[in-house]
Amino acid sequence: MTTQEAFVEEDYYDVLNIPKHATTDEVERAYKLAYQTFNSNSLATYSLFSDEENDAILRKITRAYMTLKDPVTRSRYDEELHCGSSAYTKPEPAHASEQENLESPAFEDFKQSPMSSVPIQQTEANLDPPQSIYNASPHPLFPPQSIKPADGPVSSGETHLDQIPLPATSIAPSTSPGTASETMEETPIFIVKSMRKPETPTPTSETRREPETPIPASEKIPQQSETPVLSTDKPTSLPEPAQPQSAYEMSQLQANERNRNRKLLMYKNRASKEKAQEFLESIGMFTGEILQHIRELKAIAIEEVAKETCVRQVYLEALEQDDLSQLPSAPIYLKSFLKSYARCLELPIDKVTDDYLSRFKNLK
Amino acid sequence: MTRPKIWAIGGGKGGVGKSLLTGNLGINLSQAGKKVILIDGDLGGANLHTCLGVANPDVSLSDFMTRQVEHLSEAAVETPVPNLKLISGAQDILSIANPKHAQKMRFLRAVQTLEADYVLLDLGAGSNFNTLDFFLLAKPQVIVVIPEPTSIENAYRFIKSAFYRRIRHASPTSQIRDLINETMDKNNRYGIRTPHELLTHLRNMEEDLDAFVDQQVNAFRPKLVLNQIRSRSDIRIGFAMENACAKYFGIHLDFVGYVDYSDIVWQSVVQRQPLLIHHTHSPITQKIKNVCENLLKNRKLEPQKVM
Repeated sequence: MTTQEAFVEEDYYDVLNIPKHATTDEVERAYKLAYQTFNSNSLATYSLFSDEENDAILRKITRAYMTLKDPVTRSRYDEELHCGSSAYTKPEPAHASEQENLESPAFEDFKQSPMSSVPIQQTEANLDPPQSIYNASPHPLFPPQSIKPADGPVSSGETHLDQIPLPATSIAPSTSPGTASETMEETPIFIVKSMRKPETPTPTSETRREPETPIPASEKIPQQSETPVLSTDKPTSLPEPAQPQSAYEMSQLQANERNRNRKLLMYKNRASKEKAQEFLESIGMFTGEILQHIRELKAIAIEEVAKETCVRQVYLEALEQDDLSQLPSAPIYLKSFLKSYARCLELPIDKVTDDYLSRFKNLK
Repeated sequence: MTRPKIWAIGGGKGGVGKSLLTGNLGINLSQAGKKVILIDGDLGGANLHTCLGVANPDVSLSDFMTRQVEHLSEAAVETPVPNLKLISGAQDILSIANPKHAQKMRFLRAVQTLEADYVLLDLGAGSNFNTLDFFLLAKPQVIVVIPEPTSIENAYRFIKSAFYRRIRHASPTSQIRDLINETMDKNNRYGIRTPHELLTHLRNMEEDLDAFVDQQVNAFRPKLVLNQIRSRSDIRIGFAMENACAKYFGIHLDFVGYVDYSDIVWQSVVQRQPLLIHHTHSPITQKIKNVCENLLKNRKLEPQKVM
């Protein structure tokens, strides 16, 4: 029995170290703390767990959090737990292979799949190993049936839509009426793309690539090496030296850290894909508030976005609060921050920037 | 005669502020009107007396160990602080740094019969059996770490050693003791690599060991003090260690307080003027008092209140 397995056997409450009656706030805090604890290079864990173990624990923590922070999925989970169903406590199929799945095959699949023409069931359920891991266990967040496109937003969205903790007023599509509801129904999964239709009638080939969420974040960063995540496996599995000996080692450590952060982002983006898409359907327009909600929906911390985008956290926070006074005065910065932010959360970049900036006429 | 409450302050690594904390906790307790005896349990490298501003005492633990004095209380010397006595560590006699089993047991018995309200044991660095036994005798058991990888690594090693020693000592059958002995080696045939896995393994064994495991886990609750923090974000490490301990060891670590890194502390050591007497208004002093209060009331820090 390995540490991960022992860990897997715990229920989600044990994973986050919280009592069964913990409030949503406590869940939130526990997740934050657990995330910090098992984040890479954490002082508190580096001598106890290997990087693989840390990653496995992080995944488990994220999954626990995604389930428990939402009252609906949580009550469903509680029921399962109460009934003594072994579905949740049973160790999931070989952790080791899950680790690999996250690295390589998924990428191949995503790269190969012709963007939107492939039937969705195939891309989602058959080809994509990480996705199928979620689906293999009857996870409340990822019920297998909900990814069938035929169901459309009506059936798959009925439970999830009302969970979205956003005030109804702020998501009313007043500025672009009809964009969401009309076009969504044809292609519920690739909602992101269809949302953009009315806004940008002639998308360039480059922008068309962006909205297809499955492309891992690492693929989009040109200055990084071709296969950054693939290559992280070896360096990160080495025990990290406590004191880097040289500038080279230091940069290696930082690169590892960045890669890990990116991997985690990718993981979270993927884990929350359906949910985020349902949410995206209901959005008329991207505002700072909406962006923040999407980020929280994906359980991505603002620190992670800052680390990935190299944009200072205060700027990102200002962006989410629509507080332009905190940002550099030149509008080009705002635009570039928005782009980075959207890329990080795998959102349609043009739509995000256009929507966001259109509200500040004087900037355009 | 009531037995004294015994506190132990350890942590594996040297230079993290164990003696400093012990001295000042002792002063805090004695200022509250309690009779306190500090024992410098660092047999090979005693310097608690310096932290208290006491010159090298005439009598020390060596005299008790070598039976120069019969009662441990005779080895205690007065300090400038009322109600506070000190039993200095062994001086210069190498053999005392590694006492024989009988000597150790005599000492452990004597500690428990000292006439005082509180006995504070300042432990040495490392995880040798003497240190572990002194540590396990006490409640609360305090672990001092600083936010550095070396210190944290040693602290975990110390916790692990202490826990294994405790659970092995308490094991109900020789069969279980053998199992524990074997699993202390990472490459054992059971594939058990962490204390947490050992506990799970014990729970899953045929013998009804749940009660035993529960009792061991609940009774071993070391307290964590984070010393020399340089920023607010360092406080996080304390909570992170609690969390990691639960996952790795399957035991609870209570984060009871933190003390900032400060030149005042360094000054107080150099000038041999204890913080709680000569720097009464320093924020550091308040932090140490908080630690003491949390230990007395068996409380721990809550993340939402501190951060």
